[in-house]
Amino acid sequence: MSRKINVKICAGTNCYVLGGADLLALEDSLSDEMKKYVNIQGVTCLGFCKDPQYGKAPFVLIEDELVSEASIPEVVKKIREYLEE
Amino acid sequence: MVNNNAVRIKRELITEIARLAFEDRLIECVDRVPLNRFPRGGSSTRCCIYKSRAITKYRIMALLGFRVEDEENELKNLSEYASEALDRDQIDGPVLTVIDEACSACVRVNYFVTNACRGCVARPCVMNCPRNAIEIRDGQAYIDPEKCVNCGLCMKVCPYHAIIYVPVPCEEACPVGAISKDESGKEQIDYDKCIFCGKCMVACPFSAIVECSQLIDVISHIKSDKKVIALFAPALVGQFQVSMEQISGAIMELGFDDVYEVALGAEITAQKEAEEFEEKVLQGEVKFMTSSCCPAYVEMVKKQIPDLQAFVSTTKSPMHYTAEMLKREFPDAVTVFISPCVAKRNEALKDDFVDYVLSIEELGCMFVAKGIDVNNVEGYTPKMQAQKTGRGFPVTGGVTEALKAYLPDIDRDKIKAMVINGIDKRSIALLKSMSKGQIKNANFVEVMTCEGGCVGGPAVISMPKLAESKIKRWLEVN
Repeated sequence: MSRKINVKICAGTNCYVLGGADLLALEDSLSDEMKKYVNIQGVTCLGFCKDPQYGKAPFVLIEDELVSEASIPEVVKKIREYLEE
Repeated sequence: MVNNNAVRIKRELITEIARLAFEDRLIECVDRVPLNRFPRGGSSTRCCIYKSRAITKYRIMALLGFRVEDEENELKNLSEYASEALDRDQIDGPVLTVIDEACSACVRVNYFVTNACRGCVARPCVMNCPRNAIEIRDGQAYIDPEKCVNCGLCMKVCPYHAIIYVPVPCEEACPVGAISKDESGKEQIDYDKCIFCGKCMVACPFSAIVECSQLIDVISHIKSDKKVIALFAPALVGQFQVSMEQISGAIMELGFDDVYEVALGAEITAQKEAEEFEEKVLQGEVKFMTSSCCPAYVEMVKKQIPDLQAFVSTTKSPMHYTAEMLKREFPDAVTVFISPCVAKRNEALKDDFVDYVLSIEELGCMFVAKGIDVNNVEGYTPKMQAQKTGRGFPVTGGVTEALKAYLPDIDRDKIKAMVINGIDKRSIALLKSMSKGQIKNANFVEVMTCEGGCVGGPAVISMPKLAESKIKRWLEVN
């Protein structure tokens, strides 16, 4: 795997208050091995919260895939799926 | 704050009610909220949507500032409660209420035989039970909750470890034994003992214990012509990933007329407390002095350890001094304290200068309700910048540091501080022994009810460790 997987955590206030604050500890839940292949960044409001079709906050973008109502276990699972490809 | 579904539900509701209040649609729409959250044909986390709707109604009652225990008429609509809330001046305490319908009345006794039980011939559980509370039914041991006295012997003797201890989360969390079961197994709070620390509220997996909120009072005043001033606890700065100026700007966007740091009052507290320490301990006869800024601790001394009162500092809290200063300058203003704490609302109800308390969680939900993003607002610099000494209060050890800073140079080494970082049954036993005058190697005791200090309070948004680092960075800048 030469390219890192981009994980963008929405840091907008809506996401932050409804669970995003806890997502800041995402890195701690990754193994040292996994950390090498993942690039985690907080991004400003992506606007998904404005449209109910996208589901509920907090939102995380893993590459191009949107995860709604994201939790650490779910995001880690998805990252693992990407790494296995 | 550990995020889980219960916390999410709570915040979604606070956001919804705040939104309706801001948009003047509260009376019109509030009765529909339980129905919209649990529509016909939908699912529920409880037995059925009707139970979920009923519980949601009680949650909203508490958000409107009413106590569930005070309900007299089950047919009274939420719109009627909302109307009363919009007209009143103040809520009635006590500020924590139990939604008995939400309480699952988890266990009657704490010991339970799992199906790991092999129905063995030896039956040490039956043989050792001092109350004959165990019988064999269908080949498995069964503990009769009417007879069991929670001694735990059966668990110790079972060769298959088939008997487990099942905690009652709220009772385990409460450091003062203020919450217990009534005859039907539902939890109730004994207000002669309750210190309003909020640990039960955080622990309950059914979110059955809730705060009586002043959300409506605050929003009503913001929308009125009155001058409404927000005073924020320094813990607030650790709660969001942006600067204090950004957070203050967001508070102004909500409609407050001004924002002040309570760290200003903390400086006054530290100064006065240092003087008191000099006088009573260093120059006087008293063996030790404890801090007095943590309201749950102060309540605990009053209700549980009255002999300790003589050793507690008589200095008032930072919130009090800040509000007093503001009321002197702006006598017609409404003061709203923003806090990580439930006990502060209890303190404020008895304080002449603080009108209302909003929790940090409620503030965050108000931002969401109004579509305010702290990253995007115009920053606002509060008038009167506080200093490091005051700003350090929200992290355990901060009060002691501030005290040291205000002691005269020659006396600074004479303070020997003990820090109680989070109250539990053990530290209460320690405090009780200290009330008899027994203390080793310390002449000042800083007591924080919440582990980590105020950043670990029951109504925070950020994880305490992250909040602590943010506050430390904030202290370095100044």
